[in-house]
Amino acid sequence: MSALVLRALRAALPGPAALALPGRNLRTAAARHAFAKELFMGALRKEEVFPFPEISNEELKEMNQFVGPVEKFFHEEVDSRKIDRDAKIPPETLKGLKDLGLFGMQIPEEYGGLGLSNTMYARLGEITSLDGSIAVTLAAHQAIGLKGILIAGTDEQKAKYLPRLASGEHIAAFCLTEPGSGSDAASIQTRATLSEDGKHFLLNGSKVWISNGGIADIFTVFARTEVVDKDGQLKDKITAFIVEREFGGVTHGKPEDKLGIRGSNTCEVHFENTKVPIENVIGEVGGGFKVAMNILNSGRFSMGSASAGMIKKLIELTAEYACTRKQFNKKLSDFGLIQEKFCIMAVKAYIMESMAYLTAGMMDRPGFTDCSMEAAMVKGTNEILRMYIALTGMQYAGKILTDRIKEIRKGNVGVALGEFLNKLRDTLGRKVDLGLVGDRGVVHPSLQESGKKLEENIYYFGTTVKGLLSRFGKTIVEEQLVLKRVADIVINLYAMTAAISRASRSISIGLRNHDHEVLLTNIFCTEAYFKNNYAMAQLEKYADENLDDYIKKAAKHILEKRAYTCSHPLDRTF
Amino acid sequence: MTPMRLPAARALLRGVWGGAQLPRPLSHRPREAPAGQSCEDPGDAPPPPPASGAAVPEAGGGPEAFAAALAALEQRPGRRVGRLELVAAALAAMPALGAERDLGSYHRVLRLLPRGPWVPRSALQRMLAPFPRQQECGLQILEQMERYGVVPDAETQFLLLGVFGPRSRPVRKCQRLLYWLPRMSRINPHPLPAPLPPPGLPRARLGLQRIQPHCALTVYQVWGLWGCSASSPTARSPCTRYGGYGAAAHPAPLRAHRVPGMGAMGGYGAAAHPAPLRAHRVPGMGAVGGYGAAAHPAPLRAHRVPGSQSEEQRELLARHCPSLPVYVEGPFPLWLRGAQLQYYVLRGDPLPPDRREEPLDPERSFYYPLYLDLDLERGPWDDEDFDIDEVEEGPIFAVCMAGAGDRRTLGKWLSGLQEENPVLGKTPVIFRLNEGGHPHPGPPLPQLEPPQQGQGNIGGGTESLGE
Repeated sequence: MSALVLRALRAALPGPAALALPGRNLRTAAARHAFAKELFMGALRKEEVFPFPEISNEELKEMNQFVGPVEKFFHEEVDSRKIDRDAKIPPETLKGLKDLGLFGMQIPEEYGGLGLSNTMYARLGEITSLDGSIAVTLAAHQAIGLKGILIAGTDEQKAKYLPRLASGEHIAAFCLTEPGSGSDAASIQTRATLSEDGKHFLLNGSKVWISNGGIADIFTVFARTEVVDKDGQLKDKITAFIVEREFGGVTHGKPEDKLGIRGSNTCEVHFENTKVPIENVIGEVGGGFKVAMNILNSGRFSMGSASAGMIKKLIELTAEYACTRKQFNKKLSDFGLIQEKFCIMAVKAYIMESMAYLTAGMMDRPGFTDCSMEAAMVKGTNEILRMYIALTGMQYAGKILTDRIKEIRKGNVGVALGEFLNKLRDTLGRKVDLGLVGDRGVVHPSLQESGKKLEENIYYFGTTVKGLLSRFGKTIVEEQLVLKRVADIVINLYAMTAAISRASRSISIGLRNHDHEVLLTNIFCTEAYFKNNYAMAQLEKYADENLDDYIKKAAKHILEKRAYTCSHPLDRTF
Repeated sequence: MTPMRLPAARALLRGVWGGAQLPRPLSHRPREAPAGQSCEDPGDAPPPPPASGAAVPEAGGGPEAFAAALAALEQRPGRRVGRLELVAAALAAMPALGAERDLGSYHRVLRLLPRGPWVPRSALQRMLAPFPRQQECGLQILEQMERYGVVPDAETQFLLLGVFGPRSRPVRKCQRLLYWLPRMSRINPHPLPAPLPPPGLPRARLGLQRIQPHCALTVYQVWGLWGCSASSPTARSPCTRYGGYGAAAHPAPLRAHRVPGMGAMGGYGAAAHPAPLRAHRVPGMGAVGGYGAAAHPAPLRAHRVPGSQSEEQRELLARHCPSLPVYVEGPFPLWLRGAQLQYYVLRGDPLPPDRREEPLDPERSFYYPLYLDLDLERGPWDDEDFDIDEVEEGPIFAVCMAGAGDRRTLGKWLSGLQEENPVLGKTPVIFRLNEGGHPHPGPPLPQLEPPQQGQGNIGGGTESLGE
C-alpha cells in the first residue's frame, strides 16, 4: 500500500533520466577502465573521484521520502530480538517489507519495481541492514537471486518473472554453491540434460548453503550441460536457468543455524528431474559462467553502506552506555582505551560510507563504467575478493607494461629513454605531484597533508607493482601472500581517496560538522599511509626476507603432521 | 689369581640367577682387568659361591629379579670384596634379565661400589688420574646406560659423586650424558612405539601407517575353510573397514561381497612362518597365507590383509587408462627397528601425456582469474626451486601387507580394492613377485594377463595362474 503511495509520489516528481536503470543495461560503449585500475599504474584519475558524487536536490527530496517510511518501519515494527530468538522473520514483517517495495528496489518501474539508482539502493541498504536477517534475505533475493534475470534475461523472462518478484509475491534464491568448493566451477555436479523433444531440460543435483532456499519460489540455478564447442567436440559447460518451485522435483533440507543472522533461511536445495523449459535459460546455453561472474561482481557494492549503517547504530548504542556507566569513579568514556574504540568505529563507518557512495556514484554515471573492482573493494575484506582485486589490477598493469617492453624491443628509443629518465628521477628522489594538492589541486587545504600522503603512496605503489610484475611475471597468480598485500594497499588507497574526496566536498560546501570529518579523514590517512609503506617495504623484499618463506615452511610442517606439534611447555626430557 | 676372578664372579651370577643365558660381550673394553692393578681393591678374594638358589627367587626376569639377586648377595655374610668384577658381571647379566633399560637397576649396581675410599684426597691426586680401574668401572656402567639410552638423573649423579668425587671422569661423563641423551632420544621425528606392537595385524598396521600416514586403513578379510567338509556353497569374504589409527578395537559392521571360485584355504599364523610362502605351488592344497586370526576358531579362518589407499590414490587409479596394465610388485622390505615387514604395492606406469591432468579451464574460478594473460616470465631472483632432474615414475595406487605374498592372497586384496575402484575390474593386472624380498631389478618380463569378462576377473585370473 505504502509502495503505491511511494510510486505515485515518485511519478509526480520529475526525476532525471540518468537514474532509470534499463537504459544502463544497454552497453553501447566499450567499458571504461575506472579509477582503481589506474592506481596500479601509479596514476590517479582525479576526474573520476573529485568532486565526490552528488545527487540533485530533487533526487534527494525523493530519496528522503523513501527513506522516511522505511526507517519508521524498521524502528517500530521490526523486532530483531524476536527474529533472532525464533530464527524466523514473522510473516507480518515480511508483508511490511513487501508493501514498502523493498523486494524490488532495483527492478525497473516498468516491471513494478522501485527502479532505484545504485546510490539510492545503497542508502536504503543502510537502513535494511539494521536487522541482519532481513538484510540477508533481501540481498539474497535481489542482489544475487534475481540479478540474473535483470542483467541477462530476455524481455519475455523479465516480463514473466520480474513483476511478481518485485512485489515480493515470489522470493528468489541464487543456487551456485555445491558441496566441494564454492568458487570452483568444477565442483558443480548438478546436471541439466535436454529432453528428447528438445523443449525441456531435466535438472538433477543438490545445492548447499542457499540463502532463501526454503522460502524461495524462483531459483537461479547453475548446472552443467553438454555443449558442442568450437572444435565440434562435446563439452560440459555451465548454464544458468530460471527454475520455479512449481516445476516440481524441488525439495529443500533443514534450515542451517547461524550466528547473528538466524532469521534468514539457509538450507540445501535438491533438484530431482525438475523439468525446465528451454525458454528459461538465462543468456545462452553454456554461457552460465559469464552470467554467474556478472551477478557476483554486481552484487557487492551495497555491503559497504550496509555495514556502515550497522556501525552507526552500534555507536549510538554503545556511546550511551559508555557515557553513563562509571568505574573507579570515572566514566567509561574517560578511559583512553574506550575512547580509542569509539574513534575506530567512527573512522570505519566514515570510510565505508565514503567508499560505498563514491562507488555507487561512479556506477550511476551515464555510460558504462567497469566498477567491479571498486565494488569488490567496498566489500573488501575477504580473501577471495582480495585475490580478485589484486589480480584484476595486475592484469591491467601487466598489459601496459608488456606493451611498453615490446615497444622498447622493437627499437622505440623514445619509450626506452622515458623509462630510463623516470627511473633516474626516482633514484634521485623525486617530489611526487599528482595534482591533488597545491594551487591547482582539488583537495581542500586542510586536508593537504593527507592528500600528499595519498599521492606519495599511489606513486610508489605504481613502482612497486612494476617491480612485482618484472619479478614474478605471470606466475604472480601463485604468489597469494604478495597479492594479499597488494590488495590491502589498493583498498587502503581507494579508501583514502574516498575519504579525502568526501571531506573536501563537505568543507567546501560547509556541511555540518565537517571539521569532524576532516579529523576522521586525517586519522585514517595517516594510519593507512604507514600501513601502506610497511606493506610496500615488504613487497620490495624477497621471500626469505619478508617472512613469506618462513610462513610457508611453518604451514607446511603443520599440514604435513596435520597437528600442532610443539611439545607442551610442561614436558620434560629428563 | 686375577684372571680367575671374572669366571668366578660369572659362576656366582649364574648360580644366583638360575642359569640365565650367558650374556654376549657388550663392549670393546676388556672386561678382564689388567693384571697388577687389583692391589688397590680392599679385598682380593672373591666371595664363596652361594648355596645354589637358596635365598633367590625364581628367575622371572626384569628389574625385580635383578634387584632380588643383588639383595640376596648383600645379605651374604663375609667381607665385601671383588666389587669391580661383580659390577662387570652384573652389567653383563642385565640384558639377559631384561633390566638393561631400567635406571633403578643401574643405581643398584652403583650402590655396590664403596662410598668414600675412591675419592681423591687432594688436588694433586685428582690431577694424576687416580683410581684408574675403579673409574673405568664407573665409566662402563655409564657406557652401558648410554648404549641403551637410559638417561641418568640427579640420583645417578649423587651416587657417582659419592663414589668418585667431584670432577672425576665418571661424573663428567654423567654430565655429558645428561646433556646429550635427552636430545638424542627425541631427535627422531618419526618415533616407533617403545615395545613394537605384536607381530601380525597390529604390526602391519604400524608399518602401513609409516608408509602412508594420514591414510585410512582397510583390512581385507579373506575367509577360508579348513578342509572341504564344512564348505558352504558360497564362500564369502567380508571386508572389514577400519577408520584410521588404532581403530582395531572398533570393527565397523562387516560388508560382505562375493568372491567367486574360492577353494579351501588354509591360514598360517604369520608368527610361525615369517617367510613368505609360495603357497600356490603346493598342489591341491590351495593354501592362502595371510595373517592368521587367532580369534576365529578352525575350521573357518579369516586371513586379514591390511592395506591402505588414500583418496588421492583412488583418484589416480580412476584416471588410469584401463588398457594399460597395473602391476603388483613386491615384496619390499620395511624395517621397524629390528623387525622386518614385507609390503606390496599396486602401481602403474607413468600416464601417457594426453591423460595427465589437463590444464585448468579458464572458466573455473567464479571469483578471481586463475591465469594472467601476460608475456612476462618469472625473474631468476625469485626462482627458488632447485634444479632437479625429475625422474618419471608411475603412480602408486595402493599398498598392502600380505603376510605371505602369494598370488591368491594378493588377488583377494585386489578384489577388495575393486569394490572401491571399479576400474580395476577392466584393467589387466601383472604380478611381479619374487622370492627373495627384492623387487625385479630390471625391466620385468611382460606377463600380461588379458582382462577377463564378467565379475571377479582378478580373483579368477590369479587363481588360474596359481595352479
